[in-house]
Amino acid sequence: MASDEARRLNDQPNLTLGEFDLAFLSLLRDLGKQAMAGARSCTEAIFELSSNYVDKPAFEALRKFYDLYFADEDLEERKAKVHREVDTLVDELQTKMARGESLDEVSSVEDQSNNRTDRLGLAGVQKQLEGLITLDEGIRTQILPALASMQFEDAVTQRIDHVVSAWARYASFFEGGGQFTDDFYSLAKEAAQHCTSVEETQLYYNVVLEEEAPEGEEHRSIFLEF
Amino acid sequence: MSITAEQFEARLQDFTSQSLKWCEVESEKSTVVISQAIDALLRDAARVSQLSEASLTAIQGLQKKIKLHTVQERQPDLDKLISTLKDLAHEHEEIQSVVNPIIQSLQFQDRLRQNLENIRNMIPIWLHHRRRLVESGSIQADDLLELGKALIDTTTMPEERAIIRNHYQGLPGEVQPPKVTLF
Repeated sequence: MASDEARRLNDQPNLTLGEFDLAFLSLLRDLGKQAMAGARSCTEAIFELSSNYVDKPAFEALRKFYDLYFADEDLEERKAKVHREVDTLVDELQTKMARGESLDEVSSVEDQSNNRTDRLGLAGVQKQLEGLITLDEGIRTQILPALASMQFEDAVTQRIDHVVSAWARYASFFEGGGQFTDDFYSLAKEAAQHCTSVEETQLYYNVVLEEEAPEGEEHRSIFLEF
Repeated sequence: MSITAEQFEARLQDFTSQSLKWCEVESEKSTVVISQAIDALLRDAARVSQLSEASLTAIQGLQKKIKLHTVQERQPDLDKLISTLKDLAHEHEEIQSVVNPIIQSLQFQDRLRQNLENIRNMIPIWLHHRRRLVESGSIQADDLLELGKALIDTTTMPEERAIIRNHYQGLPGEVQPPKVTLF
């Protein structure tokens, strides 16, 4: 929502709670985007600083990894798509193996070429970076500031996104006919599924649900790790 | 296990506050990242050999200043630090490619910290207005304007106010600082 919608609401004599919430939530989303852009700018500045001394092959691999990782605006959806594809792929492989069929052709991979490119591209560059780091401790030291900055951008982007989404879920509960007298446990539990890092998941469970994160949940981590 | 609307709101606010505070603290660690980058630069013999003695001394001085802020674990007086860095870049042209990204990084970090802090402060304001309107049973356009004004009061940057004006019609424009004419 932007100025057109704001004008429309301003011309109405009465508003619904949903319209009142929507005005704020779309503002929150835009302010969140502004903050995310700020985090991105911090990374760009550290990249520029690193370009003074990082060896060219390592810098190029780093840049490529960064571009692939942050290429899509909806990173969560992209990650989820890749993970779904990998799950489907594993299922399909297991089925074929159980039937004793050839594993040469696996349809889910061929059918989803874009996801395949994402997965292989990102994984490939990550492997290349890991290789460089393992082979040369000096390179690791060189690229550490840029990697730290990328991790920071990734974490901040996710945290902001999850906060905005949680409030949007809360507001839309009422839009869907929910009442203040309802029980919000299920909604709170559902929002927990969107937390990604260990710290964030633990914080959410402790503060919102007032319980310990279930087995496995507390070990989830941010994708980007070196 | 059950959670009431009031409990969920209060707890989600607490989670929001702690989560965004975590981001603010993380953003303040960018001085550590900058310090690591300068360390790496100073270890790069090829790059160092291209620098004049004066520029190298300047970078080492810069490293000390940034480490001092990091060690003292306080929000640096950024204006002062940035001003020092600009002077440094002006005096030593050959290290501008090092100093300019540091200036940018510090400026972006400060803006990000303010953005996060202001978002954190806006959510309770929305919820407060929302609660009052739910109790009164009616919401009018003036109520939107009132919320918009309250949100503007939490901002620290013109860009944030421009975004709020885009979402809430009828808010006063940016007040321009008075021009001073010298005779």
